[in-house]
Amino acid sequence: MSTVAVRWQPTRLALALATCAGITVLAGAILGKIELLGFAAPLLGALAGGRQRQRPAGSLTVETRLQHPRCLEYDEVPLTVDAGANGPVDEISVSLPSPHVETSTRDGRTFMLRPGRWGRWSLQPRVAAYAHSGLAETTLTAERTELRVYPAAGTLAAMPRPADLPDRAGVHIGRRRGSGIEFAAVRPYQPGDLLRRINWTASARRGQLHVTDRLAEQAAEIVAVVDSFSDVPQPGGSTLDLGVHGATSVVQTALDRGDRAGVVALGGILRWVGPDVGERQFYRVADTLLEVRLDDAVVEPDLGRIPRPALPPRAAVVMFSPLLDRRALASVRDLRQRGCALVVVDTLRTAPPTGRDSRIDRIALRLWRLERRRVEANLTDLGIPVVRWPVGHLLDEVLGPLARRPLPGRTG
Amino acid sequence: MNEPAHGPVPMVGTGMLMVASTVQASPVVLLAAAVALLLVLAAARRPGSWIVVLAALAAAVATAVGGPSLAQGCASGLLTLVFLGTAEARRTLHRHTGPLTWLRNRSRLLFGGLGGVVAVLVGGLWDIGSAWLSTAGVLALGAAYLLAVHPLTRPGETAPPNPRRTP
Repeated sequence: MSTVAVRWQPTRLALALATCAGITVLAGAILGKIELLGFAAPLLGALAGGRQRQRPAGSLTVETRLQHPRCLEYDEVPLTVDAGANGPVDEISVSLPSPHVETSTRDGRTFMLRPGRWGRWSLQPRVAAYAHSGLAETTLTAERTELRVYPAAGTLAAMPRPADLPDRAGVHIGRRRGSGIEFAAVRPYQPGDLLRRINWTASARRGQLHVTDRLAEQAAEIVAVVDSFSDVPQPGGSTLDLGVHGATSVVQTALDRGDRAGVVALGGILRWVGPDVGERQFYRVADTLLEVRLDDAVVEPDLGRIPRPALPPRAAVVMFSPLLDRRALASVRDLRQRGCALVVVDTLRTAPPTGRDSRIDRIALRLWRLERRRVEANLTDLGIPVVRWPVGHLLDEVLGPLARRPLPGRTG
Repeated sequence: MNEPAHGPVPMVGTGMLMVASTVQASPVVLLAAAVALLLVLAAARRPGSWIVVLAALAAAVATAVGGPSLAQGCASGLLTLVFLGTAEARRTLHRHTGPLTWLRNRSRLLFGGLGGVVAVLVGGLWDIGSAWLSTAGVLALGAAYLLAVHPLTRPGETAPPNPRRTP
């Protein structure tokens, strides 16, 4: 709760009444028309009648309570603003101007917030108090409250994984032989093999002991990369919206499977969270994604600065990018040189707008499309699959075909 | 914003009444009333601007050139007060819990306006002379203007403690 000293000001109504009455009385006195005094009489009477004997309050107290400072998109969060005055006032009204969060209220005190877009949104309720029958007013802005809106994203049925899995227990069947349940091979018995691995059928047929080898079940490391160098508005969500939602889905799916997941946000300021497991990791990633903005600072991203645990070479990297910024393209190549198994999801769904009958525009659009194809071909030549995310398609449909076989990492 | 109280209807309606009350037979009056009507319509589009005051002043001019009786002048003034009130309502009603609350808090203005009308009409019955009445009006205006414009609480000044809240 905060108490703020206020300064009362005349309202527009008071100024309008005073101005009209003043000019009319002056004109009446100069012209000698008593009817004008009759005209001004109600206005002067209102000014005099509205004045109250008691001084209005010298300070206002405001307390803002946000029930849930964290929520998902389209959740409903109540925000209560308790405003009071240390003295007489006629009425106190509270408004909540917020361009990014839809608000509604019935009693003027409790606002239901319904954020339609992920991000960190500042909420600053404005309190207006009226005194002297609405002839005096004062306004103040309450303390800022932050609402963290996480992107709402579902889990994926299938997701790409690297061919080379690290030595961690998980659910993916890797190349290494271990103690899983998937059959690998039958080989002669070696001292030290567990007796329960002996394959009695093969041993009886071949006349010596044989054991069954099985493939190890390993956990994958998944890193989602979001290109926030550019944000292009388009149908179905801007490129940055798609990137953040896609990255959230990828991380959430990986964590649900028991994989280690992390995130790297490419932008003017490089942000990352190294791969880890658990529900807490999801919120660390989500908090990092909330920081993704159209940064004004032009800082060349240096992927060498990312510590090795943040982007391990055996990780599968799913990058969401509109492939418009040359720095993002350079980052893709750098990631490939690091040996990461990489997939690029093209989040750009729209072409630049052109004039209807402009031949130059049509030629420019063709050149632009050729340039896009060249970029995609260059990445494909590097062994990086590029998939588009068209309007009306789920991310599952986009990444599903790539999940059929493991992504190759460093070659050679 | 679908409630009638939030729209321009009350403002245009009272503004037209205000203008209509000034109409007399003279073409000059009709012209002044037409100007006032245009200003009322313009003010309905921009209730937060000074066009509202200009519309009220145009109505005062139309009243002056029409040469009405004192009672007609008072009626025009009362309608002007209501017109200015509707303009204020259009500008600030969304901050309040409802139109009735807004009206209840400003009822003193209407009663004050009615009191002013009664005072002038009663004063008009006595043969005091317009010069004295005008001078009194100017003085009253000066006092009211200072009262409205001057800040009612100075910075750093604290209000006296509320005895009801004192334990």
